[in-house]
Amino acid sequence: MKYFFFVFFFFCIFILYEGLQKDPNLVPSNLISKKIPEFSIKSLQGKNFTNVDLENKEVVILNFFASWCPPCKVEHPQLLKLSNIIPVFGIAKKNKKNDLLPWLEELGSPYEVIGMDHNGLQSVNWGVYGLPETFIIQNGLVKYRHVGPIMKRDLEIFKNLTKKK
Amino acid sequence: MISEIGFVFLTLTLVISSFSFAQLIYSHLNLKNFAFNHLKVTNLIFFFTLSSFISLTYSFLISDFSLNVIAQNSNSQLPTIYKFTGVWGNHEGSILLWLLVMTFFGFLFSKNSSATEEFKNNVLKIQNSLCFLVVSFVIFTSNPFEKSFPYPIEGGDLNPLLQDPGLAIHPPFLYLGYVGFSIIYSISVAALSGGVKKYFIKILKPWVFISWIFLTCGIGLGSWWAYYELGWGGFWFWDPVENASLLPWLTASALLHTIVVADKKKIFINWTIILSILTFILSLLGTFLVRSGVLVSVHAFANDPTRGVYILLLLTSISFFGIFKYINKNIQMGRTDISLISREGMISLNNIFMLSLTFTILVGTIYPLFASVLFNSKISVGAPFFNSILMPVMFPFIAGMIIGPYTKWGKDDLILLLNRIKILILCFFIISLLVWYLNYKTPILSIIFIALGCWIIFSSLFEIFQFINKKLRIPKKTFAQVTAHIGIGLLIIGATGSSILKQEKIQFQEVGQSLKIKNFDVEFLGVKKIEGPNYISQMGVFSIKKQGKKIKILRPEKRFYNAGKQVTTEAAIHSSIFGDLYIAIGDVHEDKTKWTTRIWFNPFTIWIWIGVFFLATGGSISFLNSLSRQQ
Amino acid sequence: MIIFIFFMNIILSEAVAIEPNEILKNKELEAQARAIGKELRCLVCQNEDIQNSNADIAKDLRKIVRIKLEKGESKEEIMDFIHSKYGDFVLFSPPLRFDTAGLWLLPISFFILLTFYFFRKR
Repeated sequence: MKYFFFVFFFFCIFILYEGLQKDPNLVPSNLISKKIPEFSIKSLQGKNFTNVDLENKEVVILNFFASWCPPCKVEHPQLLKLSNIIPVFGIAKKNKKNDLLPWLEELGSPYEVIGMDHNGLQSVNWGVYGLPETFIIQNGLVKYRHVGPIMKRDLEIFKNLTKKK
Repeated sequence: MISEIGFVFLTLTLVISSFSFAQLIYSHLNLKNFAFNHLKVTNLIFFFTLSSFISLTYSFLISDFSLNVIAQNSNSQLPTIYKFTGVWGNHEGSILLWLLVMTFFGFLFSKNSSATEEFKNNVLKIQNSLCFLVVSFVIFTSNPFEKSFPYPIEGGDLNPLLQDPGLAIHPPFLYLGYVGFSIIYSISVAALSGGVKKYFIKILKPWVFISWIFLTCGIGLGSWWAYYELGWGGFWFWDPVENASLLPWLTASALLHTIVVADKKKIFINWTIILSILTFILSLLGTFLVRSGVLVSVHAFANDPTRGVYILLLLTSISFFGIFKYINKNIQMGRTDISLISREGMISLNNIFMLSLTFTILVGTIYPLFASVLFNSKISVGAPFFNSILMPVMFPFIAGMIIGPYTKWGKDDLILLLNRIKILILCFFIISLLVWYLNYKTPILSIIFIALGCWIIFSSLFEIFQFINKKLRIPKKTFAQVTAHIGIGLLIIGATGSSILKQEKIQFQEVGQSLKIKNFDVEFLGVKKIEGPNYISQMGVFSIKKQGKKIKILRPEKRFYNAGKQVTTEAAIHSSIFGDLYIAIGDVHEDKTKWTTRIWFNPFTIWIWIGVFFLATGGSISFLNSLSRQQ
Repeated sequence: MIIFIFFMNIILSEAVAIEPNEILKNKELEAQARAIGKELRCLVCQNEDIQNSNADIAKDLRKIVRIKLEKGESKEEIMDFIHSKYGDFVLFSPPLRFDTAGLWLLPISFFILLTFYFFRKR
């Protein structure tokens, strides 16, 4: 009986210790390994941008960003690098065209198409809770979600995950 | 210079307390047991810690930015009072305060307890060892005297939310509470080593009461502060840090009831010891949860997982020692059966429900952490869960509170009991009808709880009435119990009114526009810009009228703090016994003619704070009573 | 019992961050929106629900809840939708599953054990 208590006690302490290694603020995506959500929005150019545009490619990156979001500026160089090897699509959240165009002109655009999410509903459709967030989509399925800006050290992960088979 | 002295004193505390710790280890390893006067150690470490704390305080007051903690958490523009309270508005300073309270309680115990010298020595051996562990933690991981590099000219800012009188005194009260529980741990563990007569319960009693009173006030203050400061009108959010403070309070409340029985009937002695040790373990667990970064919380300090490992070590070693001593205890207590319908049975029920509630809140708070480690799930457990378990538990609780005082010791009979209180039951019926009649438009749940609150108050007053009726003197302990239970009744009424019966009006209000809420007319007179000592304020001006008569001008603010660039809302409140009129001002509308205004009427809120006051008063009567009877 | 639980959700309702232009004209729908709002977590905040937070995600979720209510969707449908997008973390009361069962089982077991401990024959 005594031993039971001690075993249980140390088990709890162990769990608390393991808990220290985890980040309580990190939220995993609920869309991993699922088909990408259906959507249809207008692009920056005024054309239609739908899920079909993302499904008919083998590997694709979808980046949620905005010109008013400072970390989005920080990750921009990495996105430009990635766009050389993989097609990058963007969705600008609550961004006015007049704010977005000069920002893209100044920093360069890695995006093939930029969808405009004026009311924020598209971001919710993808389970996005902050900016920037980046998805890797493979054969129409969500493979990976990166929360926060893509830093230089994250490039390796992206390259590994998007290696063509 | 002063800060260096502060550090020296802290080191001295470490060195001196290590003697007690060393002797504790020796005595357990059965090595040569030399006699040692731990009381002298206690006096010294209290003096050293106090000096260290005073030097830290002095450094804060003169804005000595050579110390990292002051550079990060204080500012020369701060009003002096907040330079002072800023000492504990950060992790390092607050842990030093922890240590100070621990040494202080040790000191008080050495001077004031009626225990024998030998027993005092044993208790302080443990208390000083606890201090040794905490001071090591301070020096090695959370040193408030650490230097800043490079030396800044101006500091960061004290979080504006902390720049408030209510929040300034909330931590000291809390610490006097949960750190006070360290002494009940020490007393109980010392008692377990044997060689003490059963009267140690009498020695334990005053310390349980005084710590409980402080913790009650601390939690009450925190809740009151949240109510008036956060601009939400809410007073409890089931935030992990709030839960962490509630857990030891619940077990201490259970202990309060148990210790009374233990003293009188010499049963529940083992359980008293278990609760004393458990209460302090929960205080430590709370500290761990709050400071380690393991949980998401509004209250969390700057989180540091490496610090977390040290706190976990503290928690593990102290808990393990207490549990180990209990399992290998050297004292044998008698055992008697307990029947449900009896005073002992009612106290047992109280304990069962309080402990179950404690455990449930603990599970709810920690479950996301356990699930993430064991199953890799990411779940949230929040207010809806806690509210849904609190409600059902309230009913048996209240039932116990109402009939408990009327049960007899030993073995009682249900029929006889009901017969004794038949007048009371009749009164309950009348009260319920009255409450329903006055409130029939309101949700049924609010009627139920307000009625129950009234039942508790009435039942307590009836106890007093019975004494008066029989022309007997009212014993102090009854007075204490009645006061405390009335406090709970008032708290229930206040909490129910303020939450369920809350009325709200959120809108864009034009200057000159008047709105009606409850029977108040709230006219928006406009917004002024005010400059404060370290902020700029957008102050809304509202004229409050009742039936045409002007009552008050309320001035809610939105403050923009210079140093840290943070924004706080300061609500404006008009309180009365029927409820609070609570106003907060938001942003200006695009067209610049209207402002977002939020106006609430929170019925009976003031009874929550009055209820807490009654609780503390009841506890104080018991405390004073326990001092005079310490033989 | 279900009615009881429904009422429990009305308790302790604060809604500080709601802007006047978010509030629905239909009082009953707005009340439903509030009830749902209390169960949804603001994902970037420290333990707040979507009604007590000024964060962008909180505003968006509040808007979606109201849009869906006006379309006639039920509380279950709306909660399921948000749950499917954001996972368990967004719900303040976790769904009943094998890994969350302990949340209810542990307290109940504890209560039973404690009752036996106190009232056992010694």
